[in-house]
Amino acid sequence: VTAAGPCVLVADDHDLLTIFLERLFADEGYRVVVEPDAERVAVAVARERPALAIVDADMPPQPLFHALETIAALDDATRPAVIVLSGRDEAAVRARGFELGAAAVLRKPCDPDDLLALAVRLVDADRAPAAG
Amino acid sequence: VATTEGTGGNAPESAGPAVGRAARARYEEVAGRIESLSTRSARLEATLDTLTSEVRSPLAAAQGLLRLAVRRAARGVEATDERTVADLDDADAAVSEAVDLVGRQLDAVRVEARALVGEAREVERLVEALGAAIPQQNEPGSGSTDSTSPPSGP
Repeated sequence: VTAAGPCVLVADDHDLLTIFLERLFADEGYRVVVEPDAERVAVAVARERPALAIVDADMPPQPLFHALETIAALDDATRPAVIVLSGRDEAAVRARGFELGAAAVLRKPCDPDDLLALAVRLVDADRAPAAG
Repeated sequence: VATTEGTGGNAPESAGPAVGRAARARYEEVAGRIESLSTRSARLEATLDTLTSEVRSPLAAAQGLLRLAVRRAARGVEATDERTVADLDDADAAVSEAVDLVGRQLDAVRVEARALVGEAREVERLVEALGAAIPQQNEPGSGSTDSTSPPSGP
């Protein structure tokens, strides 16, 4: 386990879920940063420059997708690949997630192995875009 | 076309407006109750939406933490390993949170659903009363005026 790997930002207001995600990615050598406040997610992205952000769609008291909207407003160089986690399954929620630039919109609870595999693929693609 | 003339003396003329007002009052009461039912049903649906959404976070945490513990066990890590114990403790806390959330919300939903059923039955009774308050028209031999017919002249 190393803290020197690519950075993953976990933006979720549920403490036990962030504990799980932190351990899941830390076990695989990622540096994990947790931000439970939707209002501060964009600041965390600009500061930490994560390769991947795992973002909860619903982080009260902010409206649905607030955190993702603030990431979407960042410039291309700063904006990480994003996986949205949501407790909701409406087509409109998924569509909005993709509209805001998410690479994937997953419904909680999602399979940890699938999440990890997807994350690795996105981070690798981000690190070596020419590798094909 | 049948008219009220000669079928009941002055009764239809004097009772008609009163019956109309009663029917109107019943109608407005039913409409109000239905609107209330609709609002409360929408609120109940929103509550269930929130529950199904909220309960997924602790479930995701529990599932994930258990998976981590299983993965560590598969790697030969002892079950008494500090991190494994922490994973299991946190999974237990997440399951407890989910159970508590579902229990509390289902209690609230059950109470509201029961109230809605009672309210719906009350509306059914009002609709029946409304039907009874409306003069029976166009029934053979009723002698009532077709509401679409022009009033008969003097």
